[in-house]
Amino acid sequence: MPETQPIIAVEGVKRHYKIGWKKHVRAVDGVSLEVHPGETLALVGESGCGKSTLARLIMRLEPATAGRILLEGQDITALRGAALQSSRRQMQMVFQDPYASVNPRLTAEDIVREPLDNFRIGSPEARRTMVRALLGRVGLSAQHATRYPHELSGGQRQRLGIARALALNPKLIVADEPVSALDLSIQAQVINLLRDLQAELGLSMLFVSHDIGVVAHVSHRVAVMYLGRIVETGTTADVVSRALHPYTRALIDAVPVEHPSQRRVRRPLEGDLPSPLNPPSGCRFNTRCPHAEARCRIEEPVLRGVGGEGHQVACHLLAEDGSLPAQKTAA
Amino acid sequence: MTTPLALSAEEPQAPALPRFAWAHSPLLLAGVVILGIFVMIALLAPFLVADPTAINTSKRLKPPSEMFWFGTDHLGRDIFARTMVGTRNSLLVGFGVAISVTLLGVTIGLYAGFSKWGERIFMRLMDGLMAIPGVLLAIALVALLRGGLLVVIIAITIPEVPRMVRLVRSVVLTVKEQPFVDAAISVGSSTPKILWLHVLPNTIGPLSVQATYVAVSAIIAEAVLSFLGVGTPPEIPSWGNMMAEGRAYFQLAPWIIGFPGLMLSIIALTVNLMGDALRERLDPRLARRSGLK
Amino acid sequence: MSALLHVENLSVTFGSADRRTHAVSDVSFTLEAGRTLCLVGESGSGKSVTSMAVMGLLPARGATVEARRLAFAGEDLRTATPARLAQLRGKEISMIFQDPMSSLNPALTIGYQIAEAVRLHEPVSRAEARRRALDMLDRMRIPDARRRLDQYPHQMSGGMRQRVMIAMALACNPKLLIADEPTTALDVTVQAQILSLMDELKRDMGMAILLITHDLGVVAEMADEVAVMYAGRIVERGPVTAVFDRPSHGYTHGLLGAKPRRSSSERLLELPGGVPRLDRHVETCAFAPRCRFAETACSQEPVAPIAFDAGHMGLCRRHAAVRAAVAMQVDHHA
Repeated sequence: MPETQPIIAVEGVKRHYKIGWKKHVRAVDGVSLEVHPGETLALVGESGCGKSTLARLIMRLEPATAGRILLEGQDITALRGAALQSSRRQMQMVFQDPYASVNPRLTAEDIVREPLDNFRIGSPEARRTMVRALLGRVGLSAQHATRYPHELSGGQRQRLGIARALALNPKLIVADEPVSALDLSIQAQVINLLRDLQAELGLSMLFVSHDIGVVAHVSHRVAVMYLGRIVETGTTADVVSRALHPYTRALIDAVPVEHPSQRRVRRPLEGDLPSPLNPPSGCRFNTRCPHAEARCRIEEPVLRGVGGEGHQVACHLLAEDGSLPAQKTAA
Repeated sequence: MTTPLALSAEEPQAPALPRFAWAHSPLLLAGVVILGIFVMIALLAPFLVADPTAINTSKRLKPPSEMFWFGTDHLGRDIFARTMVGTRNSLLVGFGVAISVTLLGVTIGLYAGFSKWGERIFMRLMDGLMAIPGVLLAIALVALLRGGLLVVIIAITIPEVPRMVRLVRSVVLTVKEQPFVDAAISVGSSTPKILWLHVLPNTIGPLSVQATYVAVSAIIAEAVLSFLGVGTPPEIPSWGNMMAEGRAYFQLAPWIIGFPGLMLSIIALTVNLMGDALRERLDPRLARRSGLK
Repeated sequence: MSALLHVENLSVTFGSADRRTHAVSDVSFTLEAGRTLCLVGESGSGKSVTSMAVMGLLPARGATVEARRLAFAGEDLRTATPARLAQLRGKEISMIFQDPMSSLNPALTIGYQIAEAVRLHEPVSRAEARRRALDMLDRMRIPDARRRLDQYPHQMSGGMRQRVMIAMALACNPKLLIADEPTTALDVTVQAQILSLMDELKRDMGMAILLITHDLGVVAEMADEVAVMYAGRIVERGPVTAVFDRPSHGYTHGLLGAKPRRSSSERLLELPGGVPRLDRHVETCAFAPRCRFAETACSQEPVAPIAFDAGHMGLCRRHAAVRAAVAMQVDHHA
């Protein structure tokens, strides 16, 4: 990728929640990433890995404990008041729950209009036209404009949420599990809509998801998170079909097969996610990793390039050719 | 033929917002009608009934009759006239307290729900207020400021505020966690706008229910204060001071105390039932249960 | 050959005459011992209601259940007394649900709850029941099972609780396990653990599984047979490979095309519109308004079951067109 300025750059960001005397949940614990113009970066991981928290940190819905967030080179980590308000125009969010993310007492039109009113874009009459155009853009008709959310289906509400996010013509869309609450046939509609919008408007997108299948369809690059850290990042093709980190491999191996003929005996990952209150020392995956060695329990691995096109993995054991030492058989 | 998209009638699952269909709330309808009658009485009584303060020593302690529907008291005053005129006093106190408690409760509750400092200062203040017995506080205030309707309203309002503040704050804390509030922040809405447009409307339900209960307890509290002689001044007829005066003649002339007491019970019951009906309409969980019946 | 579970022309309606919801219409299937049948469909398709009707768990007031036949191991469930049904549930037929928390009592240790499930149906001593509970936890591969016995549900992770639920459901060696979205709330790595566990138990204990899911991946992973439900009807039913290879109903074709696959980044197939309301009984194909293969007859004439191949049947008059489209896609990819 040429040296363009990233739309959003996250540098060593941490988010710790204090939950008692000297006790901290380390939801996000030192993450760096970049989203470039016109690119979709998927943030993948299981529940509790910190992916949604990271999305909220970027949106400045929560304060970061440490690190910097740069929007087109400008540090927005400490912005307040009017400056923060104006930076919000550049980035908008699509939420997971289409039922809870719209105010039940406003009509579809009011919901999409709110951002336009906030920034006094155009005359009030022009805003009305813009709202209709936005609704049309996401596949809702004029007759939906005057409806209340409870009169719309889940898919239609999610379209509404997307129209609201597009209203300010942002450069970055942060989508937090935007399709995971939708039925399969509706999910495909929304995925295609996001893909089309991304391509047509040249949007940058941070797409948070737990579903590898969905990610393969929407993203250019993927970052995999485990216990508050990124363990692997690279192009979607590299990460999905040539996963290197033992955790990514296990994660992808656990995804159900696509066809009954592909069934196989697998060795599911043993054990449970350790508590983010007290993450394991060294590599955070060492408690469940079938390859773990003494070094993994002491020294924390950093992301390093393996293979081409920015494929990076945080693992001590990975050889240059991407191979791992033999699994230790259970004693 | 409609287009497939318009036809998509996936079932909207969220509880429908309360749309008032009176037929579905006979209790609420009855409550509104009875309360309406009371309001009419309060407004029109002074023009329709005899002078409630006219003393007629020759007609003392007369039982209910065609001449005096509710009988007369120890000074020969018309109990019917006094009871009807007293309605105004009770309703004024009831509504006055409910409105001022709601306004104060919403203002302080919203502030405490959204600001850390507001929470620290006001919630401790409310905790302190709650520790003082309400009637005692009211007696002290009335003694300090002398009688009068306004003082009675203030005296009853103060001990009722903390409960309303707590309710508003707890609802605000729940609504504040809703993703649509995050969405509003993301699209650049200011905090006052978020409070006004997104938080406040979603607190109206539990709030209006609480307001009805406040109104009831205010009407009763007014009667109690007047009964104790620290409420409405004796020259203004009120159910409370009527009952206080009738207490001495209870065995001789039970109607003096009986009729204002009956009115007090009816209005308390009515407003309470309205509160319950409102709660059932506005609480989706309760509404669904009653819908299944 | 007699099937363990035999359901014929099952229909379920909710509500009164003026506002009736046809949740399930004319559903028929059989399930044999040692087999897994997946009921797959989107929300509102009637898949959960079907399983509740089989278990006799629908409220008597409000729900009307009709069936030509509803039999478990030869016993007619329609005429069984509530006491007999309660006896069957737990002992012969067990259920697990999506949310393990709702089925576990937060105030009791899990050891006690599993032991109680055993003692409810079998005359064993407390000590023996506890030993069985320990044994079940071991089989669920719950590490440190002896300590776990004395823990409360809130002390465990979601995956652990789901395994406890399964342990409870299987404590009495049921012949039939009904699992309603058992892994929907779980992460994929935990889902993989639970699914392989269920499969293993099916093989070891010869139990039949009725698995209700919205996830085609879970179907591909687990099913011997599949029944695809749409708007209260089974629109296609057959051996899992046949249904995946030769989908013969427009809806099945659409669902398979709408599923995101990690092996592809192509545009997904879209099913326009949404699920129809079920407030009136329709004899025609309910999917026709969304179907790319539909012709006028589809929304005018009643649908009738058509057999495609051995054991593979469905409700689609356009099955030939659907199959032709599938064959073309396969050629295209080859």
